[in-house]
Amino acid sequence: MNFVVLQFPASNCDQDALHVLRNVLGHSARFVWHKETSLGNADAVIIPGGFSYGDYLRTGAIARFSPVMQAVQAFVAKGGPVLGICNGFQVLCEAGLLPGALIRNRSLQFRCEHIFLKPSRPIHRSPTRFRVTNCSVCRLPMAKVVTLRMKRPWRI
Amino acid sequence: MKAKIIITPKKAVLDPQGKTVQNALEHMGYQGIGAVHVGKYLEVELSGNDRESARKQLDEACHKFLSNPVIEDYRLELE
Repeated sequence: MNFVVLQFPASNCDQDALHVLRNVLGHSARFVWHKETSLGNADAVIIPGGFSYGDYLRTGAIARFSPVMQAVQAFVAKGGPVLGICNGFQVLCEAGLLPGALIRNRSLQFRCEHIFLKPSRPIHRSPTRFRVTNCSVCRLPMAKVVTLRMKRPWRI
Repeated sequence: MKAKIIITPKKAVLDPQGKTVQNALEHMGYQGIGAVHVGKYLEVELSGNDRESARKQLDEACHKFLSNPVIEDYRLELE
């Protein structure tokens, strides 16, 4: 399969995704910069994690309007598979390709654990809660640090 | 011309930041503190004098981009 891994300013683990796709799974994979308008011959798209556009405004809100995301919208409309990891998942929510929106965790604490979601009522146990109204049962391991992420620029 | 945009979490959406600030204010001894909501404030400087067209454009931008209507409300003021 031909994978593409999107890259935004401040993406991370994009190199890891490419490494796994190429060297572990043996697929063809390449990066596509966020300013590109085409996904070429992609069979599948990976949107990696990180802090696209510094998480300014809302996580994923600015990345959602980048040129490559217009290509992703068209790709999805044709039935193409897209995997959003971490910030990539947030970008997909902001883009309206996944339902719901991410809000701060009730405890404002970092939580790293497997969360089994049932979309019948809001979930209160993940770091950023994912509000779902209508989709099938899904399993999502989530490890997203809201409070630590805010502090990072001060520490570097 | 300047636009002022205030974005707040929807009343139905839990606002743990607001709740935490509220608790802190109460612990500090401030009296009569009610619910606190933490949001965002944006100032947008605008060229031109067409208020109606500026409002229309910014209203669209607020709905499409500056706020997330799933979880946030916004208030737009022009001055």
